[in-house]
Amino acid sequence: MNNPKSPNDSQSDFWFGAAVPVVWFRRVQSGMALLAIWYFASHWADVELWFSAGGILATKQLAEFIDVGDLAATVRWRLSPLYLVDSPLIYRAFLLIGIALAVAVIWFRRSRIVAVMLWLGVVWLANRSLLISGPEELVLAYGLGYLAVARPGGERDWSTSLSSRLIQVHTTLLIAATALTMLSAEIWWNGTGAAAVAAPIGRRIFDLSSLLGIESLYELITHGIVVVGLAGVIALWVQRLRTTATVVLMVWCGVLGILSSQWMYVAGIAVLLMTFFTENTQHREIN
Amino acid sequence: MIHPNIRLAVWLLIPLHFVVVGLSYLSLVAPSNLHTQVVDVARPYLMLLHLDAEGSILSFSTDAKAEKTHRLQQTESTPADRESIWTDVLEPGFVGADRQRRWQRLLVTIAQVSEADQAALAGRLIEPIAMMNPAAGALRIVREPDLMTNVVDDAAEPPYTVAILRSDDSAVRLVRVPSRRMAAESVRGDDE
Repeated sequence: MNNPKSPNDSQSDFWFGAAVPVVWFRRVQSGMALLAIWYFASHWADVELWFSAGGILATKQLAEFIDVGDLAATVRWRLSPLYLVDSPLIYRAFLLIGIALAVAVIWFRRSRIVAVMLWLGVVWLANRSLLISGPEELVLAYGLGYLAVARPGGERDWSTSLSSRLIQVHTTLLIAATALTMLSAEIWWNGTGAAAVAAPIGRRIFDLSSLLGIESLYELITHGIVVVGLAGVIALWVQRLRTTATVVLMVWCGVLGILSSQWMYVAGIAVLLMTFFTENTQHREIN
Repeated sequence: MIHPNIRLAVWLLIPLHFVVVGLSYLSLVAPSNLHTQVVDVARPYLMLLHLDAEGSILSFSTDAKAEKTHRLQQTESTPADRESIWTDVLEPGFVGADRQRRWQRLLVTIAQVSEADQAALAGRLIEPIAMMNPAAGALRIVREPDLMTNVVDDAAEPPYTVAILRSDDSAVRLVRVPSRRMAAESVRGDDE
């Protein structure tokens, strides 16, 4: 009977042999934990508005909405223990614990349990935020979930390799799906996509009305967004192009962030893209 | 040293995991029945871990109505009419912030269910807001024009208007105010 391969013997092993520099993996852990702090803190002021007994998404209110709309089959698996409470005090305690766990992930790096609890905290709050959750929860949920697989300090280990591979594959899928979904809308073909994203200034931090007046500019940005999204996900998996593709896709995230103001979402993707940085990237940075 | 069982589980389960996640992401545009059925089978797993893609959240823009700025407005007069003065209900957070984005998602949901002729459903969501604004005699959701909308879009009726009837015990009853276009069609239907 053959002995199982050790990580050192299996550099070609896709899931267990990925060599992600410790320094970059720790940056990913810290970056996602910072986003989790941002996520929990952004709920602080609106606990009463959404989740209290008289709130818009109070459990009783939401149950009636689901009942009237016959939506039970659609949403029944969006489970969270937070549906059992409607006290703002308990919600705020939950948010504080979530923030404390994220801080522990950044500064203590001792136990996987902390990372698992942080992931569960985000998933439970995201599942509780029925009707008002968005893409930022999607990125936080999978990013923190995969990071919980790794060793807390990001040391080189089969679990850290597995964690980074899971993040890489999932992020590739997300960007590919985003770019492919763009192709289904006419605006991403006729050049007005960037303008359409920036147009509702009531939803955007930056008023880019002046951009909408320069046709060639917004058309160039539109085509650039689609091409970079599609080409970037392929280039990420070509060893020679990996670092360049990662940086270009981070810029792509920045452009989409400026246009759409979906900062937490694009920041999450940009942070997770750092798992594609290799030893060479690290050496280049040190030199 | 990796235990052989872990290695086996990874090789079997992770591809399956990514297949269902990928199918969920790619089901946003126009999934076939087969595609929908497969995603539905995996939905408990995806929803439990918050991995499923909802609506068109990955697209950034499909130039749909859902991506326009929505405003909740109130008036003190009941019933609301053309002369009513509508003021914006204060939104949480600042423009573009996560807090306001959540508020926008709620307004989009109410507008969408209302336009799907599910007034009772929209009422369930607007009722707490009516309770929080005791001075409001009516509430409506409007879509704010922007540089990508045309005159037809800008002249469209608010997707949702509701009159609020208050009783002495501070309970509220909501009465959907039909749009002028719907009322005109109804009158024309009666004539026929």
